[in-house]
Amino acid sequence: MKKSNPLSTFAKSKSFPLIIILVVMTVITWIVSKGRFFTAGNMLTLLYGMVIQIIMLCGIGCILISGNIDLSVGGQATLCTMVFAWLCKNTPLHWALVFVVTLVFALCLGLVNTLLVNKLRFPSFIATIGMSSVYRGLCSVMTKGDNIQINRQGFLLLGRTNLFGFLPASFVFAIVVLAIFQFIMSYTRFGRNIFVVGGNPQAARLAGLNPDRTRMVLFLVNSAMACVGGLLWSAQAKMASPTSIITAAPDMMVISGAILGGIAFTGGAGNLVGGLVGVLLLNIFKNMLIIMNIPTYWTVFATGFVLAVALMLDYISTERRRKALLAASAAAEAAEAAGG
Amino acid sequence: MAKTLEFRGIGKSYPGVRALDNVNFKVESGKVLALLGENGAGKSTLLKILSGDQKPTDGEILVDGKPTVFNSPHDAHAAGISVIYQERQLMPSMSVAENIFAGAIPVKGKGPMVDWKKLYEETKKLIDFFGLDIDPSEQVGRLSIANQQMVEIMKAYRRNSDIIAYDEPTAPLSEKEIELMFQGIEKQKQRGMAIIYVSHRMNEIFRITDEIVILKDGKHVATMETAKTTEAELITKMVGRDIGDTYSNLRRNTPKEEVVLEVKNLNTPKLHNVSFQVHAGEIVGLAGLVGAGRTETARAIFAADPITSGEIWLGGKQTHFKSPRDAIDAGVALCPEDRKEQGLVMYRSISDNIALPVVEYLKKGLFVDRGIAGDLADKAVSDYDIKTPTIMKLVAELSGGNQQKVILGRWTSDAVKTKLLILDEPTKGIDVGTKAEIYQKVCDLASEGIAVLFISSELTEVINLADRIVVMRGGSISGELPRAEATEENVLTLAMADEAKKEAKA
Repeated sequence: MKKSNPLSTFAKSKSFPLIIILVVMTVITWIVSKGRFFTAGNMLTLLYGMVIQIIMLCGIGCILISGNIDLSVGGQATLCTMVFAWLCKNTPLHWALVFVVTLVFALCLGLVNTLLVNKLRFPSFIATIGMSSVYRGLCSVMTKGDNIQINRQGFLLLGRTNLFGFLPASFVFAIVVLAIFQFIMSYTRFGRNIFVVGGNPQAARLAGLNPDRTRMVLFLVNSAMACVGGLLWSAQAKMASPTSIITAAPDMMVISGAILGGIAFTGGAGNLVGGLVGVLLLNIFKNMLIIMNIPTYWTVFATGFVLAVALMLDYISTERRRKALLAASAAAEAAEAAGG
Repeated sequence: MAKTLEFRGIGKSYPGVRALDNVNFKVESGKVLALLGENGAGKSTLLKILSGDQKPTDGEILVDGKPTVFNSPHDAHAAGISVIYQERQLMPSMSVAENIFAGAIPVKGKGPMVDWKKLYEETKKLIDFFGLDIDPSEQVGRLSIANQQMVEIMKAYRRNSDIIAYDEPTAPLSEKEIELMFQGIEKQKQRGMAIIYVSHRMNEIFRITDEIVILKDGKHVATMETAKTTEAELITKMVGRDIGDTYSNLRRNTPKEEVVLEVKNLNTPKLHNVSFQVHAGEIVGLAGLVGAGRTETARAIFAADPITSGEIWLGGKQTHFKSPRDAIDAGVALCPEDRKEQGLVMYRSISDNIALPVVEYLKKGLFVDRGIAGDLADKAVSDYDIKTPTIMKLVAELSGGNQQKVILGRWTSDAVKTKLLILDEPTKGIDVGTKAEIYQKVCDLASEGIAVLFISSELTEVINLADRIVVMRGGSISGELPRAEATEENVLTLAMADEAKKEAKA
């Protein structure tokens, strides 16, 4: 029997070539930027931008692995920031308490998604794309499109506390959260069951698991993550805006990065660290274009292009592996026939 | 441990179909019972009822003498029943160990943490028990099909079920693996499990089963002791149903000399050296069990699937079709097995569906000439007596029989010059009256000189309709029978014959 060691498993994994690309791209960026990449200023821009993405990745990544999708995270995050800012402005409550209230509100949003999918049996794609619109609409209705300033100093600290001058504390927090999620996914029964449900819902049902319950937990967690991510975004921006998160579309960046990082869109495969690598890759690429003073109009195009190429390469390698397997089993059959 | 299972008066009705009717039999602990029957005899339905996937309309299942109702697969598991389906229920990206223990992964103490060491050890024990060479941490998707099947079997074994049903488990396995599996079943017998074994392979049935239950058209026709019966007797019991006047009233025509289709040494990943001919005006029946390669042959001729080697000649010319489009243009028409998925565009009108293959030729400038398309559809509706108020009705709203007529109408309209008509299970799920209409229409088309390749799992139908029958088995042609020799016994013998016996006869 073959013994698999962790290193060779890692080398065979989908994340491995991506990490190589990531390192190579970072080095290239560093060189072409003539030293402007590893400056405290650029690091802060890059890492602050990723905080909301990494927090969202924790929720969306798990949902993708369970074979579902939530396209309303951007809307949920925006609505949460609006509710939070409104409460901060119009009530005397401590911001920490408002934070908790907003979190409960987020769980209610998650419950709505759950009901649509579990009870009314909408596919998660349809249900959440619809709700996304509802949430965004509510944001505009709340203030007729205006931003709400946030001036609770304690809260704003979350968006500007740095370690060593270049490392945002909220970024470290996001990484720790991701590590906890990855741990749960890899080492707990609940985490493994998510893979079972996503890998083959029928088999999961036949094995006595309850896919609906798993889905509910994930939708609730995801809404909570959307809320936390959104609020950390607001802390940086010092306000809540009905459009800024939607325009920046961190959720789309996360879904693209997750798939790039080997999380299967169809469920059942991948891991959050891979997703993180994918997200990092997209962000560094975007950052590189900005440092090189390439007009912003091109960055959207270029990011999409990288994604398309990466997905194509991924498809080709999967196809090749599938064909190799088919050929091997055909050869075995032929040998069998010749022998018998 | 030791449990018995009994089916008492089990019946299952679907709208318009009686899939099972008063099935009674009992499986004793420590015995293997074979469930035998033609395609569509009701074996799969019975297994679905046993697994808790579907509920019987009548009757009851008794486990250890106690009536038991299964509302879900989970209930069946709880009662100690596992059904191993032909379609594997695996998570390809997860490890062998996690697949086997899905839903019951061992944890440390009571906590949420997975006990990986125990998981892998337990899996290793199972793998050793079956004498396999698989790494418990290997991804299931990377295993060979045969090993994937073994994972499925280990899964049922792990659950410590007392009652296990296998649905054609050996189909994807090699000789060596079948041997291992049989040893496993032998061990299960010794442990007192009750086993139901569904297979078409006679040698397997005689080798490992103790009793045989034969189903036919949903009815339980016989229970026999394996040791006291013969292959010939089993086949006789499986066939021999009443053949009504449906066939004797058909107006038939004699085939012509001209060869329309000639297939020479056709090979694809699923077909091996398939060769046969179809003459003008001839109806050739393509018989065989499910998975024998009949549909694959049809799809290869129609260029729906690529061929590895071999030649296809149409009307005396060798063809090099690159796609179904080329095949259609050369006069080949295919009515596929799954009419809803592959035959029709369900949410378009009858007219659109009939014009589908010729829509390119109905264009006037940039637009489709609805008038001509309508004329084609009107003609098909009257030719085939399609029951619809208007040709604009959506195909999804028609009955199965009328849907099939729409497909037939499509391929026999004046706009398509069909020379070879391939019908794959054209009467599946269609009522008796419409079946008779379709049979007559097929005969009429043959009289017009069209060559017909008729694929069906219903033996009576093939035997009575075809001028000649080509029988397939395991991707190859196992024999040809002229109409005079086409009895169900002869066809089934060819369709099920084991290689060794065939060689002995030759």
